[in-house]
Amino acid sequence: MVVLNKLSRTTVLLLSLGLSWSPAFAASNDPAEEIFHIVNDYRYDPAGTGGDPDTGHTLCGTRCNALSADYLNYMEPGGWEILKVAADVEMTVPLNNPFMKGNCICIADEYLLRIDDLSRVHPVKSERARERSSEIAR
Amino acid sequence: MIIPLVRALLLSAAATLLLAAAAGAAEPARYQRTIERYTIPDVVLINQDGEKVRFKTLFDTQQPVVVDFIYGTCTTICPILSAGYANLQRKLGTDTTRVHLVSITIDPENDTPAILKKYLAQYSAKPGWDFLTGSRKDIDRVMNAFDAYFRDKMDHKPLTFIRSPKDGSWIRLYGLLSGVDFLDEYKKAGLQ
Amino acid sequence: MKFLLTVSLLLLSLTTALAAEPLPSAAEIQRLGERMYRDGLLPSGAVMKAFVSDDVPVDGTAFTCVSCHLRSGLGSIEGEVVTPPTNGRILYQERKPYVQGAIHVPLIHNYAVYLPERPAYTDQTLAALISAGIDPTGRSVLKAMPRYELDDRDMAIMIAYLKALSDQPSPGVGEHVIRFATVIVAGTDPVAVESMLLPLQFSVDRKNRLAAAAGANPRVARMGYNMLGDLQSYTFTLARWTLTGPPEGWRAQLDDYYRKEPVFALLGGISPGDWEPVHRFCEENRIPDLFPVVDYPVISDSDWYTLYFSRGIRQEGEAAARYLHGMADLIKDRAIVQVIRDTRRGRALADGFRAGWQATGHTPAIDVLLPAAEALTGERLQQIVAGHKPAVLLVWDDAASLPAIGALAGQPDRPGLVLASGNWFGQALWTVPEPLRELVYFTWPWRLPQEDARFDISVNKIFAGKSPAAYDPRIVRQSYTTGEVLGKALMEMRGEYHRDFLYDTIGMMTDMYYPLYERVSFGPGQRYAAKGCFIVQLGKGEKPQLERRSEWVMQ
Ligand code: HEC
Repeated sequence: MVVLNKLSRTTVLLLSLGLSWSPAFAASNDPAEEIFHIVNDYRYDPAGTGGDPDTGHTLCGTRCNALSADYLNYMEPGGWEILKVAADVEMTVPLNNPFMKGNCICIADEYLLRIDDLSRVHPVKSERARERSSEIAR
Repeated sequence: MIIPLVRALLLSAAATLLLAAAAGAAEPARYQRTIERYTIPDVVLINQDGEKVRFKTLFDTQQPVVVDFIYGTCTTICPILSAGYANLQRKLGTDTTRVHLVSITIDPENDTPAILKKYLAQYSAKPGWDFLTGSRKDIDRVMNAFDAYFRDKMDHKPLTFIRSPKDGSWIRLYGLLSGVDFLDEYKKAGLQ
Repeated sequence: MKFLLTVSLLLLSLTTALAAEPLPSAAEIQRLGERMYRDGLLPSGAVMKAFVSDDVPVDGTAFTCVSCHLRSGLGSIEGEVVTPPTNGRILYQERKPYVQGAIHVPLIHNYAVYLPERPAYTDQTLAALISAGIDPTGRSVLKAMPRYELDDRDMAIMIAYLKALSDQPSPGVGEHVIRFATVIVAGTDPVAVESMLLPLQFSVDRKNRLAAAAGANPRVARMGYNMLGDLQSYTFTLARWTLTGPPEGWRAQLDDYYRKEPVFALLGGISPGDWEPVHRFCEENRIPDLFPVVDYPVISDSDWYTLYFSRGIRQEGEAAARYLHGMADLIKDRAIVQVIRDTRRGRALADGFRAGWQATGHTPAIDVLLPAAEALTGERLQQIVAGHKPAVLLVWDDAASLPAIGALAGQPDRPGLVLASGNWFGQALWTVPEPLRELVYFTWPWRLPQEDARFDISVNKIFAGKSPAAYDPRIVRQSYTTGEVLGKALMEMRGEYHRDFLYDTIGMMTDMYYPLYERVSFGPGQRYAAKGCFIVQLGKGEKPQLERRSEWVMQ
């Protein structure tokens, strides 16, 4: 238990009441890096198929929103770091609907998720990280 | 532990604003008012009848539109904002559709159309008051567009937005307004 | 000045009136007071009237005391408005100046940080507050607190009700101990039972270790106090209540257990099928039950005392309906067929879909019931498809239906999409062959596995040397959440251990991100924490991953 040197035993005891404290080791079969997207906007492109633009818009909402991450799912376990790597990237994906053709253009910010320090997974950090990253959602 | 702490710190600043109003003998303004311009996102929301509503189109109108952010099971702030809407509808008399009152849920997780409908009935809402839900991402976009993003519904603020049909500008009201104040602001935005 | 005059006149009239009127019995006060407090109805049955924000009239049926002060009367903090406690015990005490530097200590008095000091209320000054919004210092309180029009007798009943509200600690709370129990229905798979118990016992033991350490070491005690307030010295107990025999007999067993050892709340609980008798027991005795591990929770929008992880199996069916609602204009008049395995699970999925689909005003789907023991052959499925030519086929069955679905793939009149339960398919979901992956969609009521792996670190601590393989990973993750939510709630309760306040507190919590569910989300009175369910498809390739086709929650 490396972390016990850094934090006092007392703090460890207190933090471990069952309040998001996690011990100081990494289960390391996780991928070290990952890319995720937060989608800001979307458009339907019928791509010459004559698809109804209104329905297309609704369905592209679902399609693109499904590609969008809830950043708190990445922040909350703690120990990972999020870096913004690109803004307003246009991603074209097929609408993927059996009843209508065309594409969706999902406009998204791109983030890199990487291990920061898994031994520092604890609530204080997690909350600070949450504060810091709250603008990610904007 | 930490979460209540951060919330507490955020709160103390806000509480000062609200308490100043209560304590001050000189009756300082009970709400803040600014004029803003907003870009409305093109998202599809769902109203209390389960109908899809292309949000942008709500503002293609010569009528005043009022927007607020509430949710079905919310305490304190929403009841008061909604009492304000109900009161305005009462003042409008028979033709309540002269003004479009729009409430948008900030709890799309829980707020199904059925819950929205029940909420409106509780406030005896008349035609002209719509309550919208939708996917969480789309609701986030709407909140952001109004510079009213709440990271969590529990960090909710009392905001009301009145759109002037004259030039599409918005009056942004922050605080809990009296009936007289609301009607007054409302007239400034173009109601006769 | 006008205010002061009004107040003194009011006080004068109340002093005489409150003294003169005889009050109804305690039970009647409880009933009538509760009706005003929770339903906004006067003892006469008429609607309570008030003014809020100065001049805005409001009916008690739109909102009343409970909407802000919550059921326990111990107050709420929402957004920027702090609603103070409104129970007699606290009102009839002076609100002392707030002690600088003590903000960290979770004590009920800390709500006073945001509110000015005041002396203790008396019946007269309390009546003035409720009717005129004037507190005992003469301050006109925030206009968010409505001013109520109550006659003297009704006011006296209201005040008597407030005096009894959250007055005594709830049963199961001792001087330094809080008692819990969990309910195990005999016949539940022992692995499932152990998986439910492990995280609960872990939380309890950990708390008790802290209490012991604090007892032995003043430094730990001091730090513990700063973080947890009085809670630091409490120990927890967790009894196991086993129910045997048919559900009809459970109630008597529960009553018996409870008589022998009253508990503050039930934690978890597990049953392979029925749960309703336990739910009723909790409802009638007003005992909270945090998160029983059940597939078929009782669905109600008014029951109070059981907090479920989700709406259970039916939630998948509801999610399917919401997903299809988005493309309803494309389906138009073509049929939707539900092939339903005639088992409790199959019917729950179909019920969920039916309710969701009809709520949005669509033509009902066609139901085809499969007897519980009859295999679904490719022939049978093609017959169904040929008969109804559905645009969408819902197959509420286990993975044994996969070959039959596979046989549809090449058919010219095959449905546009097939939807099945990813939960029910289990591991077999990953064996869906490539050509079928485009056709078949699944409900997936959890976070995607590749994203949930990040939460392993938090869960692993629970095993403490035991082999994770001996447990059901999903149930462990569920129960882990129970322990976390409980710990957090008890801390936020600041020493006021009342059952209703436990739920008021949980209701005010921000959304949480724990293992298993994409998000657990609360709100006053909300009783199903994980509200979502993804619609997914299996991706391409040899080691495919699930790909989301929807958000966690869609409306
Ligand atoms: C819309 C929200 C709301 C409703 C409804 C409401 N209250 Fe309040 N109440 C408040 C707020 C906010 C305060 C704090 C005001 C202040 O101190 O400035 C308050 C203060 C009080 C206080 C004073 C507490 C103190 O420590 O001084 C009492 C007593 C009270 N309310 C009782 C009631 C009763 C009884 C009802 C129902 C008949 C009720 N309230 C309905 C919001 C509400």
